[in-house]
Amino acid sequence: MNSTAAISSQTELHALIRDRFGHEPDWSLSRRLRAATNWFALDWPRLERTPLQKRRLDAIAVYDQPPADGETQFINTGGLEMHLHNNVPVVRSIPEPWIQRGVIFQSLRDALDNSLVRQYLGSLLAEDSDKIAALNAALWQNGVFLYVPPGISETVEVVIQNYATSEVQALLSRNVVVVGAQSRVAITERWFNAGAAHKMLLAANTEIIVEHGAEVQYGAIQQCEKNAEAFIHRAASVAGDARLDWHIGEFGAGLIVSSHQSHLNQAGASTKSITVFFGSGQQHQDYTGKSVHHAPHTTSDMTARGVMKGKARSIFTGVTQIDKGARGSDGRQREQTLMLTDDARADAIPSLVIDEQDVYAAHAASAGPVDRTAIFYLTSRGLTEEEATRLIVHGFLAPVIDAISQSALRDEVWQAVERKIRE
Amino acid sequence: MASKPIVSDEYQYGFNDGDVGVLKFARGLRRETVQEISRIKKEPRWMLDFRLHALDVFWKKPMPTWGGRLDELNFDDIVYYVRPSENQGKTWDDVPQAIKDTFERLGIPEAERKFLAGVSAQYESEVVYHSIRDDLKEKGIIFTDTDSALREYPELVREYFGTVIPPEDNKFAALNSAVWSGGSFVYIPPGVKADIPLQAYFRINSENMGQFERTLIIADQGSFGHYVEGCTAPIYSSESLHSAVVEILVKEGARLRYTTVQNWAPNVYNLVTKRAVAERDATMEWVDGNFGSKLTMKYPSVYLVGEGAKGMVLSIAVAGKAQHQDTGAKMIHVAPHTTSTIVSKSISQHGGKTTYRGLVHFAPDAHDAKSNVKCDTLILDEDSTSDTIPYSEVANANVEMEHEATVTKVSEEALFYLTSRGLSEEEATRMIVLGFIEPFTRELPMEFAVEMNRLIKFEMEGAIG
Repeated sequence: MNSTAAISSQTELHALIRDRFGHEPDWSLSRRLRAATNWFALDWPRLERTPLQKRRLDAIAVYDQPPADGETQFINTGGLEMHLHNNVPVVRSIPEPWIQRGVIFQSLRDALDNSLVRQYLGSLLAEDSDKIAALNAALWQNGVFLYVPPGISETVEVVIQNYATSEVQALLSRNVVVVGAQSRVAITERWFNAGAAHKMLLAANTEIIVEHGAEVQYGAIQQCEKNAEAFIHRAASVAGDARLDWHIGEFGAGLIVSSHQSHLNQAGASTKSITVFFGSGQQHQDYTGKSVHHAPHTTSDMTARGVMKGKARSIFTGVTQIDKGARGSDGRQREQTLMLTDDARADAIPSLVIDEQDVYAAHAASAGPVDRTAIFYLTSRGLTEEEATRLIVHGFLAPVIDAISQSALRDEVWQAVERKIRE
Repeated sequence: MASKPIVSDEYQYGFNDGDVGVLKFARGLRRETVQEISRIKKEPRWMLDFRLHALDVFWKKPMPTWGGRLDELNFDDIVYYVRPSENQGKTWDDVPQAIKDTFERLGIPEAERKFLAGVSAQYESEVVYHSIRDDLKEKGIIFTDTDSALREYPELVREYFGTVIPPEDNKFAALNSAVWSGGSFVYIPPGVKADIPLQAYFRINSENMGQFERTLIIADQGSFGHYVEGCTAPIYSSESLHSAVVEILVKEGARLRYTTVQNWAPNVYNLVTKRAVAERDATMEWVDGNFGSKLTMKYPSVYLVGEGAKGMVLSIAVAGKAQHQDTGAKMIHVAPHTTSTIVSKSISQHGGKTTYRGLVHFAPDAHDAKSNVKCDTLILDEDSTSDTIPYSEVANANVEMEHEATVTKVSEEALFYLTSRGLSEEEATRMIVLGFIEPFTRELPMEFAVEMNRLIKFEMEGAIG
């Protein structure tokens, strides 16, 4: 492995990229080189409520290649499944019938010759918006490419599991998902790592193209250790009469900056999102959800529910944007936070940006404590205060967690909630 | 869509009275400008020092990068001080005829005769007419212009001036602190109830005039008062700037209501800082109507610093052609058991833009605090837009915060129902708009309800003079 500590100039980074990714197609290599130039020119992300200076991201050895943790094994687990350890695909499963029907499920590095990857990589998430975007664009190690051809009406279920060992300094990941017209896909994505004394930078971008009439459920659960400084961004373009549902559970990482955005590009497109988050300890969580109505008769519905304890801090920024001409659109947001401790802090900024008259847009936000009367009632029935609080947290989160359609993910989210309650 | 405007875009008070100033400064802002204002007013040294310090703060602070577009606002084009008359009138007859005509046209003296406890009228930089009812004076209520207050009640002014909104607060508060002139000073002694409103009226007449009134209101323990202000300006081709600072202290158990209906001409930048501090069991209420102006950026706020304090903001904003109303409210819950309510109604039409921008903050000690925010927006036509940007910050487990907002057009079902009952579409729309803003108009004092009626109902019929 190269020593990367010495890299301090664009020339050195370009040499490293040529060395590491020189075998990639020209279009990919030149993108990486361009991004490397940006990496030196750009600043760290400027987030209104998440100052990054104190987090010392500069001190992370971002050029280090994660050590391999196993080799790719093709195992038939019965479904479409990929496990990436340190961004090396260690398990890849794709049942033969799906291959026959034209489903492509590869690591992104293996899919660079696919014209769809070239077309869509970086099409929804900018590679030059800030230093993290540029770093990920320059040095992304791997990720997943999923293509589902048009007309597959039985749901294609996909599992993507990402794990990093304690040696990893920077995990840089990209996913591209293209779902053809009228097809149905349900994705479950998991993020976790082994804790370490040093910080790990996690940058992950996922871009999803949902073609006409297709239905995609994108579920994700993030349970990284507190040494992780995570920047996870997801964006989707949704075509006419297509639908995209986000189901996102955010539990781990010392710092998590996470966003999901849906671009409703043609009439009849719709999106629904559920974010469940639970902050504890010293966690800092900065979430953004965005629904952008570019076309008439599009609908969006965004829900976030969070529980905060310890000294954790959360920010949820919701943006419902309705462009001029997006007549008959309907955009809604709901954000609710349950505060378990006095030292926690939760900010919510649910904004509506409306440039069209013929619409309905609404948001509701609330924050409040555990209901003391309910605690009193439950404890008077013989429950301990902890048990009573647990029941109330369950009652608060149940309506949104139970709306997660992928049952395995739903159970994992419940388990994560249980773990956080006990923490 | 009806061809006539639902809420008139045409501005009724756009006449100007020619140049009536007896002393008008050159354009632009220099250290000497500030020194000269202070010298003319024969101010004490501490006030000059305060102004000069504020000027440094103003020069140092960058322009805000959020809110409305400020790039066409040129501080060098503004006239920072115009004295319209040699003396302040105590009776209506003392006021110069041209100015008197203006206020007659705006309906000020009738309003005073009919409804008001006291009235103060500011024209350009100075208060030109001032009166207060004798019975209120006997109760110890002070209602005067801020310049006179500085001469007559120097200790009171010095104790509170700049304590609620220091010059460092924001660029426009710093500008006001440097060049302020006029404004109202109100002091209501402990336990005194001023049962009829005190009114001030602000009028900009000159082109490129900057009006920087400075209002300071102190409602002492257990007192009650209602202060009402209105604002107008003529239409010129170039911009004027209105940048007021309003500081209010509501002491233990007191209640103060501050009602504004601002109806600036469509070339006025209206960049105002309004803030109140509410002590234990005190109640502060802002009733805030924003019509007109090119750009308004105004977020009345209440710092709830005493246990049991209450804050309320009830606001309406109407943005017409080429107008941006960037308004909202802030409630800062510092103490336990504090409660706040924000109700905001916005209407945008003819290409106008309304932005609701608000903040509800719960500090770590504000346990058992509650806040309820409701923002509704009506977009009346295809060219108009609206943003809603509410911030909530909760740093405390034992609070209750609720926020709701909607953005809609006029309901087609309601229109259908009303038109099927024989109303024209225009009449039906007007009824729906009036119903939409009714929670606001209900709270206005009578003479302002009259003005609102003129602004919304009468003008909606297209009968503009």
